[in-house]
Amino acid sequence: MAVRAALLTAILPLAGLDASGVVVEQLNRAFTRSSVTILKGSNIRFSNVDEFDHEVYVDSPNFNYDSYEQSPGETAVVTFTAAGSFEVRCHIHPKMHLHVDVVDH
Amino acid sequence: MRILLFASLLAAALTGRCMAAETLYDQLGGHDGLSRIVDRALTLYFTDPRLHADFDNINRDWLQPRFYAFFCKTTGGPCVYKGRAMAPSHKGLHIDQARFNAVVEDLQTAMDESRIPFRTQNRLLALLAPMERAIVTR
Repeated sequence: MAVRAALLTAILPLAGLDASGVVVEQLNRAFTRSSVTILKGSNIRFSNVDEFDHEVYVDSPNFNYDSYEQSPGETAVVTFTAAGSFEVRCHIHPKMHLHVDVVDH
Repeated sequence: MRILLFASLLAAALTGRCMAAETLYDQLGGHDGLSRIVDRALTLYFTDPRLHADFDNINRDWLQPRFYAFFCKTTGGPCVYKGRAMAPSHKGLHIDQARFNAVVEDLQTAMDESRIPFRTQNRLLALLAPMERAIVTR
C-alpha cells in the first residue's frame, strides 16, 4: 500500500506536465509563479508584460541561459535541455526568482 | 632661424590646444572623476528614501556601467552608450517631478563631494534638463 502511494505520488505530478512548456509572466518586477516543474527538453516562455526591460538568466554547472535585454511585450523562450533543479533570475531585478525542476521523461 | 622655427612650432601647438576645447567629460575628471561621481550618485540613489520605489530590486552592478556610459557619452567622453533613449528606458516607471528632482539633487551632492566647480555642475545639469520631459511622465 505504501509502495503504491509512493508510486502515485511520484507519477501523478508528471502526468500533468505538458511537453510543449509553460508560460510565466514577468509583472511588477516579479515572476507570476514561484516554482514550476517541466519535462526535460520542454520550455518556459517568459512573457514580459511589464512596461520596462527584464533579462532572465540561468547560471548553473550543467545549464546556462541569458535572454539579454528583453523589451516590454517580448517573450523569451528557454528550453531546458538538462534535468535537475534550476534558479531562473533577472539580471536587472535581483529579487526575481523562479525555481524550476526539470524531470526526465 | 632656429628661434623662428621654435616660435612657429610653439604657436602651432598652442593654437591646436585652443582648438581642441576641453570637454565636459574632461572637466568632470575624465574616466576616474566621472566614475567617482557616478558611483557616489548611485550610492545616494539606492539609499535615498524618496527613491526607494525606483531603486529597490534593481541590480546596481547591472546599472552602474550603463549609467556611466550614458554620462560619459552625454558629456563628450570616449564611450559608446548602447542603452535606449530616455523616454523608452523610463517608460512604465511613472516618475514624477519630486523623484526627478531627488535624482538631480543627489547628483549635485555627488558632484559637490567631488569638488566639481559650480559652473561645471551647471553645464552637466543643462545637458540633462531637456531630458526631463522624456523622464517625468506623471
